[in-house]
Amino acid sequence: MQISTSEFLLGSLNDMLNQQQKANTLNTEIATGQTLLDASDDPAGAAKVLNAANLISQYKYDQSNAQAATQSLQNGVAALQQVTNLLTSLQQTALQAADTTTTTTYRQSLVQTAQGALAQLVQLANVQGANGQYLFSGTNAGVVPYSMLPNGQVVFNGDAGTNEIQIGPSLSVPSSMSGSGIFTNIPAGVDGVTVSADTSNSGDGYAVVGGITNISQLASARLAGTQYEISFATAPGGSLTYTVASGTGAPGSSGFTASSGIVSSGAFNGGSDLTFSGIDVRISGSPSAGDSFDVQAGATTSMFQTIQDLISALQTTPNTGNNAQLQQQVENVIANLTGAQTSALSAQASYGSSLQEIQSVQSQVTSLTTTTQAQLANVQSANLPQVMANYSESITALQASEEAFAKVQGLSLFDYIQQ
Amino acid sequence: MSGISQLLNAGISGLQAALEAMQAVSNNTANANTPGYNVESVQQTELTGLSGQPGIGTQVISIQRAFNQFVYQQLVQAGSANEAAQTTQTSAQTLSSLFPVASGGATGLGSSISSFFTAANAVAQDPTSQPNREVLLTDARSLASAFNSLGTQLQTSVTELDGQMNSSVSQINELTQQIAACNTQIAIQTNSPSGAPNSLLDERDDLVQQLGQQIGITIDPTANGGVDIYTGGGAALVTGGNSFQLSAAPDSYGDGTVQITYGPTGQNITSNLSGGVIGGLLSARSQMVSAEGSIGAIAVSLANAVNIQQSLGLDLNGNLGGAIFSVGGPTVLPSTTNGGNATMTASIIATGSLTAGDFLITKGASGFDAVNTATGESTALGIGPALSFNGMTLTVSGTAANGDTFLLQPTDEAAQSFSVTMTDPSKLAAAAAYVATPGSNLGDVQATVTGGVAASALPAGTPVIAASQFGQNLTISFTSATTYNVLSSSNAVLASGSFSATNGGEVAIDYPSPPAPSGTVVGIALSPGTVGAGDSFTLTPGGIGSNGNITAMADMAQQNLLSGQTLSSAYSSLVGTIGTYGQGAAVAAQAAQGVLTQAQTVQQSISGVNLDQQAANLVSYEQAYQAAATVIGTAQTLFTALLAAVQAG
Repeated sequence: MQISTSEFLLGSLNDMLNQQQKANTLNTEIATGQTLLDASDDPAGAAKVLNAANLISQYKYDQSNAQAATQSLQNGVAALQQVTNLLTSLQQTALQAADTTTTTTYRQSLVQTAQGALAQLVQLANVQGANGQYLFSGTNAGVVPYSMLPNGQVVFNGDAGTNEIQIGPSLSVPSSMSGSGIFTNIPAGVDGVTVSADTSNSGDGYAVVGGITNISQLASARLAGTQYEISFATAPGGSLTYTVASGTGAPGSSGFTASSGIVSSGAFNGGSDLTFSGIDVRISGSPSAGDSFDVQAGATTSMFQTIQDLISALQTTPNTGNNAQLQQQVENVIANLTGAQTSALSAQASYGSSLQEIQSVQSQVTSLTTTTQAQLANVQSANLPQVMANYSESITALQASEEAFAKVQGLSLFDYIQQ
Repeated sequence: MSGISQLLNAGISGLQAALEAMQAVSNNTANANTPGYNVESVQQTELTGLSGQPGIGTQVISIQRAFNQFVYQQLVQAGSANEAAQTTQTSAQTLSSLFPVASGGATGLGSSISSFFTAANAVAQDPTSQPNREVLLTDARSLASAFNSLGTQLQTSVTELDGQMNSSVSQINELTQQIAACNTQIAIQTNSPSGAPNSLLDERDDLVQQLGQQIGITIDPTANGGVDIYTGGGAALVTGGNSFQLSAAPDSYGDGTVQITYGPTGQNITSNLSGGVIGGLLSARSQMVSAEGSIGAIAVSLANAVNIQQSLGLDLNGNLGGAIFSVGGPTVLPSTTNGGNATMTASIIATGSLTAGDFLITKGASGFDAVNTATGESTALGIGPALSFNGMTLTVSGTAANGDTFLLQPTDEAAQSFSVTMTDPSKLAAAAAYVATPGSNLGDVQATVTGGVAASALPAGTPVIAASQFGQNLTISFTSATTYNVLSSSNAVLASGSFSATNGGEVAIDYPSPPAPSGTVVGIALSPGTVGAGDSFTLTPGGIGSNGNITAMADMAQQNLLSGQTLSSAYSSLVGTIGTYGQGAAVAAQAAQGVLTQAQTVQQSISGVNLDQQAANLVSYEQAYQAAATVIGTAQTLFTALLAAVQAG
């Protein structure tokens, strides 16, 4: 077949241009280390690369969230640990307060200790995070959560709102906390059951909640707002009997009497437990006829109030004889301190489990990140040895076609037929 | 006697023929590189003598160009297809360069979208941090400029393509005129005794080839050497000596889109055109416009979702948040040729159902129909005045005549008009509208507050606190184990509800609307559980440390906001689509180039000039010339000898 001369030259030129373009593309791949530089190089790969990059950036902020949440929760746990230590030392103080042989001077120094503890507790409850925001004020982060009024009462200014933050694909953990339910608004006594002695009691008996014997019975009593009055009387035979009456008003008030009903009664044997409505009340000492104790099923208190109660118990100078009121007061403080411990420890446990969750999720997210990065690299990164080999191949081919062109374009019959 | 003169005459005819042949060779070599030139050769015949006698010499009957109509038409078609493919590819390259994927698309719009949500996430980590809020606004501005520059670049490309279309149409008109003029000349000369007008034919065929590069054509050879030319759709561009003009002008909707109309009828034939530069430009333009619409849909979804979320939370001053972004809405343009006086407006009501693409809305006898301009898919809309379509509400006012058309562009302008309206970072609504704090409760019911719940999703009988009460402290106070009141901050009973220990309960607070969308409420779910009379929950506006609302905003990165896709995956699939288009265009361009090269090779093997061949021909004719000259010399010698003999005798 005949080839026109201009076509022949043009064809060779196109070949060389193609080789140059190929070499140029490879050159860019070597310079950038990437093979996928334009969506049209590999459309499916391009979408994959963008999705992978987006996932990686999401994982990155999951990681950063995990760090932020860890920091905030660790701050909380650290503060609560100190609270636990503080409460443990106050348990000792309370026992000393109960001891009627403790001297007045020593009691005064214990008052100072307790007052110091109260101040320290307020400080711990008002602890600030690295960003200067209060840890336990809920969402009201800029407000001091606990402030002490001139009368010594401590009030909560925050709210119960807590923040959640995403630490992994569709997984969030709490990243902030509220003092409500930790420092304040915690069950008083034993599971919310408290006992108080009537101020007019003449015997030296005092009562403590021995335990809960029937949780569901207690729960319904609590919801109904039921309160109980244990009263002692002398039976015709001269022996001591007890009666437990229930009602919904405050014991002793007219409302209480109106709704009262006898839930338990019988002869009282010293040192025995009275069990009624799922509650076990232990009477220590010897109550006299006419003495009474009030039992409340659902009471709440705060750590601050408990310490204040301790202070007031410490400030009471024991009588030489009957100290039942003081005993009762101190027993209540001890029960409340135990409740406070439980509250601080369960908050710690809950943050601890969040921290643990963060840690395990974080390692998952790290490995997800690595996998995704590998996937991205797989699609986008250049296989450099391969690209280098291709590059030198294409350069060689280009040189060869240039040389061939130089030789062939010199050939012309006209050169040979000139005279 | 007659012998010698015959010898002489034959020699002279040979001399002339060789000279003419050498002229043809010299013309061939001179035009070796002339585009459209077809190699010419002399057609020589013997001058026949008497029977039984030798011939009386030679004669050149014509100079013929080597031309094959079929091969030529193949070449024109290949050229047309190649030009279309190259034009498309150039434009596809521009398009895909706007959506970079290098280094994980770090410089693309997708990464600006991720950055914005990452910044929202940083605010969620510490809502009180002013620097975090500043970063979010800065990232919002970068996002806006990414949308703007992408939108502007796409629009500029469309404008450029329209400009090229204009100039291509002028070239087409110029070429068809010249071809018609050539046809006229050829018709006159083709039957002249001097033979076919080779140069004119070459010129005309070259012009036709050039025309084919601008637009897809069919060639119909006629008598007298002429050609008639039609567009792919059948509109005549040249018939004999007449040419018909095309014109490129903005369409009747006033959005600046150039359309091509056929001169004699004024009909819009844009959709019937394919091949050549015009075909390539039309394909590229529809791809650009579609990309513009898709980007716009992402812009609209993002802006709407973020702005709505803003209106559901509280800023640092305790107010409901204002819009962060502003974005242009859909445009509906009536055709200037409409008979009726109807106008139409459109607003987006559900970005989730929005699909990219432009629509032509036509009033028919039974109501309005919307036709997707890219896919041709048609949807019946009804008679209005309010039409619901693809997540938009179209409002018709005035009266539309049958056949009236409107161009609906849902999101074409969105990317360009995307802007940040918020300037004060403290106005970022990071906090939840309300948080619940339990009182000294006897029961174990928990209250969970969720912002931005649809009122229609609430269980029947849920007490809803009016929007006018929004913002104050509220209290949910149980009056019994099964009933509760909602109290205002001054303890007035605003609403009452009932509670069940097994199913819990619900309270809703209506958001002020605007800014919040109507029908959205703050939902307070009371978990199933036990309740004591007097139990309560205090509802207070979320404090400055609350991240309830900004978390929801950050979470939007993972929500399917647009046609069942997240914004990022919508962007990735758009890039995938553009990549596929680019890859297809590159493959098509390469294939078309191959086909053209093949067609050129075939055509050149017939019509091209091979210089070696010409050199050989030259040698051959030179020798013929020398031989003929020798014959004449011989005749002269014979004649001289004869004369000498006669004189001597």
